[in-house]
Amino acid sequence: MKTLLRMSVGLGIALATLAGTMSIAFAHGEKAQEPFLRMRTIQWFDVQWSKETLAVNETMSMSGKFKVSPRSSWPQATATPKLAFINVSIPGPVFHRLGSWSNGTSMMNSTSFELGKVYDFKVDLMGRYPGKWHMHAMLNIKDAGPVIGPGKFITVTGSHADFLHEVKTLTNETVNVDTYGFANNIFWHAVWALFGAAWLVFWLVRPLFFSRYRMVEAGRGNELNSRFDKLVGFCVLVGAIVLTVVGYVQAEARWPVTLPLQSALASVEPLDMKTNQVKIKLKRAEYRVPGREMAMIIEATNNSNQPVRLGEFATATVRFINPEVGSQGTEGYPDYLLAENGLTASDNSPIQPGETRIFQVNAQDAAFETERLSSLIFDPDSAFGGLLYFYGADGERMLSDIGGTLVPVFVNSDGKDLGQIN
Amino acid sequence: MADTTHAGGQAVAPDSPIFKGAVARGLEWVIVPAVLLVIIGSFHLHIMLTIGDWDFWLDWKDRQWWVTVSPVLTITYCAALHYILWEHFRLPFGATFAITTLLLGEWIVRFLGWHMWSHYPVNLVTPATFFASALALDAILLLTGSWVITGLFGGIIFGVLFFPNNWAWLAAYHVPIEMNGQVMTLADYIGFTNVRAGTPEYIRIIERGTLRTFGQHSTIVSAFFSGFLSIFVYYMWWFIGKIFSNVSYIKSGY
Repeated sequence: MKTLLRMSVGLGIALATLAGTMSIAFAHGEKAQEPFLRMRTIQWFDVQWSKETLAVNETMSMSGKFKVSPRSSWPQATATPKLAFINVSIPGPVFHRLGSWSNGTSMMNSTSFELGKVYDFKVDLMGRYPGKWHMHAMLNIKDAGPVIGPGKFITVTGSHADFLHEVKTLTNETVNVDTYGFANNIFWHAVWALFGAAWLVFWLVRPLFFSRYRMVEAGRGNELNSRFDKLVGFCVLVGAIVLTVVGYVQAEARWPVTLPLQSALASVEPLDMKTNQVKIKLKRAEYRVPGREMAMIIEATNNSNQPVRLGEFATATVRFINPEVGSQGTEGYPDYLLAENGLTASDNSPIQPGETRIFQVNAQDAAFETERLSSLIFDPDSAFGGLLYFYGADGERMLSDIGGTLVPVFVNSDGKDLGQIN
Repeated sequence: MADTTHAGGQAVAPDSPIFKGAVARGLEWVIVPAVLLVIIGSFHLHIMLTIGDWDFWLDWKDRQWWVTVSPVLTITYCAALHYILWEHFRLPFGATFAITTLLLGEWIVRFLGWHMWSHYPVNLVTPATFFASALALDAILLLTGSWVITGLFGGIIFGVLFFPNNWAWLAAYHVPIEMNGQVMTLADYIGFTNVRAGTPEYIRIIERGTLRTFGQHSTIVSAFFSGFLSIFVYYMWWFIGKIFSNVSYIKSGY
């Protein structure tokens, strides 16, 4: 017995110590999503956060663009965004969302996005709770779930006690969104709870079970409830109906103009943005497990009117930059998603207008492991997706879709090129 | 004076402790809190798994789905407790007891969990109240002494009273506002502005369904339809209460 007691105390101390050493998880849960979902559905780009620090009641914007992967890349296991909602991934209402838009259209309702098209988005937010919060762009897709974009830590300073979010109704009343109606809610719930409690107390103060059970078993259950009990019951019935009517009538008098909940669908046109001016055919792609490197042989045909060079490969919000060419919009992008020297090409010379070139592109960075993209090789559909960013001589950026089968290489290939390049 | 020394025609020892008021009362005060906790847990779980979203969120409380499904799924435990408490003890407070336990559990979770811990405002997560419906159901059982009549009339009233009972506090959130060029209710806006990463707007099962022939009076139709369904659910769960209060498998020592 003493041994058992000592063991129990020891186990309790060990568990308490372990619990004390655990750190709070408050970011990066998006890595738990399957790689194929993150790589082949929504390609986020130009995502920006207008502020990294703001006070309670201050506003900020998160904006950017996303390209919906084309049918050829969209995974069969995932529902297409016929019904989707532009959302924000934050830990609860630590910010209030003031509005969201896509291509200038208000996105307070859900909408439909077309495969292969580009849309921009903007979400306005107001600081509500002080703290350091990880904020992601996110698209919820019906029957597919959330597709999470890049995330950044945003710090809110100040005190929640100072938070004030007011709106003016069409009935000319200014209301505090956080506290409006609270007193009335509590009042009516309390009134009914007291009524219910009184009814319960009326029965609970007298003998309940044993004596009543014996009477019922003796066939004398009818004697248990007196005329007075039934009179009280009648008053309860009438009282419940009358109080309901009173509550309803006073509500109608106080708020005579009301609407039903709105369940509309928004409609948004895609951005008029040219893509795939450099047409890409994937010849072969391998993922080299020991080296955390993706190697692709691509055939690129330049259908634009100027020479282009490859500046970036982006997939699952991770950006592999070709340092010899560079890429736009890297300032302010989350460091953990940026591989600034992560991309190399076997031929970095400009691809001339009309030229078709086959060359090898290598994307290498620890991000494949840290962002859990390497587990793509264990997905039921071993294919990847992403965007290639080409840059013209005048700095014009051209986006091209890339995707296809990804063959895992489990043995160190000594850095040899893939197959034959013709 | 009532004969309390015989039960079912068989004599019970007069000095049995079960007769002594204090012992019986003491046991009852152990039984009542225990039953309270069990019902809080199981009824709350039942409601959350069935009509949870409608009961939880301000922007799910529409005129069709919420008004229809809430009474239908709530009269379940009311009916089961009616059987147990009425058939064996002639106690008519089963419905109110069930609703009290439900709302106790709900308010604890909403206030401590969703408001204090997760920072959602109370007005977004206020639960629906069912007291008017429950009190009426209990009173009808007491007055009629008949489960058949209680199911029939009580069921209808249970469904019909639900919406007006809640409108007293809900109406304030259905005032119209204009936001970003769109007209919506304050409830829609409170739901939009308080970010819920796992509850995108399209997931709301609200105002879906036609009822076009009833113009803009879908609330009344939904309320009566809910009452109609509640009748059958009452009867079904009356018998579930019977099954769950069956103790024939426990061997008696007497």
